[in-house]
Amino acid sequence: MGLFSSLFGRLSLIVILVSILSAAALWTMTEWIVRTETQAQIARSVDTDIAGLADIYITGGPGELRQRMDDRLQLQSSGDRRYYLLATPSGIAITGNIRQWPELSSENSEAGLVSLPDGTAIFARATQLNPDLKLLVGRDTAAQSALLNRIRIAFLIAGFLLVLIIFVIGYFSTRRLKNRIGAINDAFREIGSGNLATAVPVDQRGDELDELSRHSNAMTSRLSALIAAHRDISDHTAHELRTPLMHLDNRLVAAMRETEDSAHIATLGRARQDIRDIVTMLDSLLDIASSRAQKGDRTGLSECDVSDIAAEIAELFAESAEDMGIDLRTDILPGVEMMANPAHLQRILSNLLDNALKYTPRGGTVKLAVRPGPNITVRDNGPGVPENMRDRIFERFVRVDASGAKGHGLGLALSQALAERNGLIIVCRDAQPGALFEIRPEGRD
Amino acid sequence: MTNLRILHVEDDEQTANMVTETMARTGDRVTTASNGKDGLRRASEESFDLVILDRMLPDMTGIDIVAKLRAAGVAIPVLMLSALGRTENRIEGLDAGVDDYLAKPFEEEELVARVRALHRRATGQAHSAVIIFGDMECHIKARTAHRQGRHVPLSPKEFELFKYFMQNAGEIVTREMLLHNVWNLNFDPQTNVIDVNVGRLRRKLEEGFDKPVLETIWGAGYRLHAV
Repeated sequence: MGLFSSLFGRLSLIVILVSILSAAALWTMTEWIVRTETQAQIARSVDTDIAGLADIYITGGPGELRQRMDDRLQLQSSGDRRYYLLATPSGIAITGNIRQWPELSSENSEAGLVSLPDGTAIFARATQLNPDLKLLVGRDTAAQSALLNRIRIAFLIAGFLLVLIIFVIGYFSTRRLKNRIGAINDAFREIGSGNLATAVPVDQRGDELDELSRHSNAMTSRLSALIAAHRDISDHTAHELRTPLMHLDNRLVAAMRETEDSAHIATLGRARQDIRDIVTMLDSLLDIASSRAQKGDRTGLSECDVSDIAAEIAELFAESAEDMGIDLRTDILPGVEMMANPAHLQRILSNLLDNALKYTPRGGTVKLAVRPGPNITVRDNGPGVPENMRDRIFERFVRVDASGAKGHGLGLALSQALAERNGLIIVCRDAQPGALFEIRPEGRD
Repeated sequence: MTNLRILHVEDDEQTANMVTETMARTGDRVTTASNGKDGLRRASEESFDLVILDRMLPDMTGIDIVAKLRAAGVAIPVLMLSALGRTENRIEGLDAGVDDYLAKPFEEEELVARVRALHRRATGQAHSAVIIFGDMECHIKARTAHRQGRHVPLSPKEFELFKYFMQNAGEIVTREMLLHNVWNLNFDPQTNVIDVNVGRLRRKLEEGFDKPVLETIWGAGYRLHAV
């Protein structure tokens, strides 16, 4: 079974995908919050710093301001670098650790991220101290970037571990589940092919699967009880009918022994034949019922050589055909094999050939062909089967020619039931002229 | 002809009487057991030539009995005589280890012929390289037939048929026996195919010879007899 056609394959992939997506979403959200929060923090610190320096300028004048700016620059901490620039309105640096005035308007006290010539990204705010002096205060964002990087790495590791854990848990639990369901499916396959004694495994965990297994077992045992009952009824019907028929037959034999009258003997003989006809009909009906009940059941089927069986049956009928003046031809490709019950194939072919010979006039031709598939055809050039009868002739007690013909009209019904029991189907077609009976695997045109 | 000691396991009294009477006509002595347990015990403990076994007994099935006998290593020939006569039933019986299967109602001659053939087969009388009967010879290995020293050309199936007649020479061979043993069919095709095939063999065996050898026994089957 492919990865995507298995329920578990699909489920595992979905779970992994969902866990990757949720890890990514969580990371995006966390980064956004941290980024905005640190940004705000930097902005607050820059604003406090610039307000402080502005106060110093107002109270202490430019000299004091420069002094204090220099002091602050000397006390730089490494993680959170400060940037200052005191400049003329045209942007010429008076003091500070920035050489060039960035694109920030001091008149509007503009703030924002700016990139220094050496590539450092800083957050800065500008202000106009007096018409001739403007001040810029900034903080670098390296600490923020480092924090965000750490978060990213943490999430990558956590996300990877999460997916790995989910994958491992998912793999083992789906494998377990898959094994359990696989065992249930195996049991059903076995049951489906006729072995009704197979029990669906119950794990004793009391979960839904166990409930399913228990229900299935209950159904199977009911099914096998029904089949046994069906068999029992068939066997008992046969037994209870055949036994008195045999007693009757014995009495007829005894009566025949006691008379010399040939007319009596003939009548008693016919009565005995009637008994045999009843038995034959009963057997055919029970065979049909039993074949239908066992449809799909693979027990009793074995690999058999259809070509050999067909050749043997053709040989059995060859002499009869010759006596009837019918040309019985065979066109059998050797080595055609299938899983079937050989006795059933013999019987189907014997019925079809017998029918074909019965309905073909002297001088006619009957042809038996076997092709891989298997595809077996019995073709005659007799009167054929009227179109409206081609499906109906496979029903019980239906005959094309109700007058004259011997038998109960069960031969084709039985052949069809036996064919279906072996996964085959018989169809009747027009052979132009004559009838064509084709046996082929069921469900294939 | 040896007289056989036969154990008949049968709960139906009428059938039991009929079998006893029928077999008595050929000099065989039948002991009847009316239930499965008794039948199983006697078949394992006493000495019989053959067992005729009913299938549906009140206490156990004939299939169980034969399975138990075979499991215990009892190789006595068993003929199942049953009211279940469908192909499926026959195959089940044969698979369980019975040597032959006859469905009720049956012809008396058929029963006698089956019992005789089964006994012959079991005692190994039929296994030799050349079977000679009257003026006929059947060479099993060379697969050839001869009459009065002349080769009679037969098709492979005709030879099989001839061989079976020779193995059961002088005895009645029924259509059902031929169907099962020569054509390996466990059902009656309800046509005269067997008669036609036997007829063909008869012509080959008798054409050009003055005495017939293959006789039709009305209502029973055929018999090869020596001249």
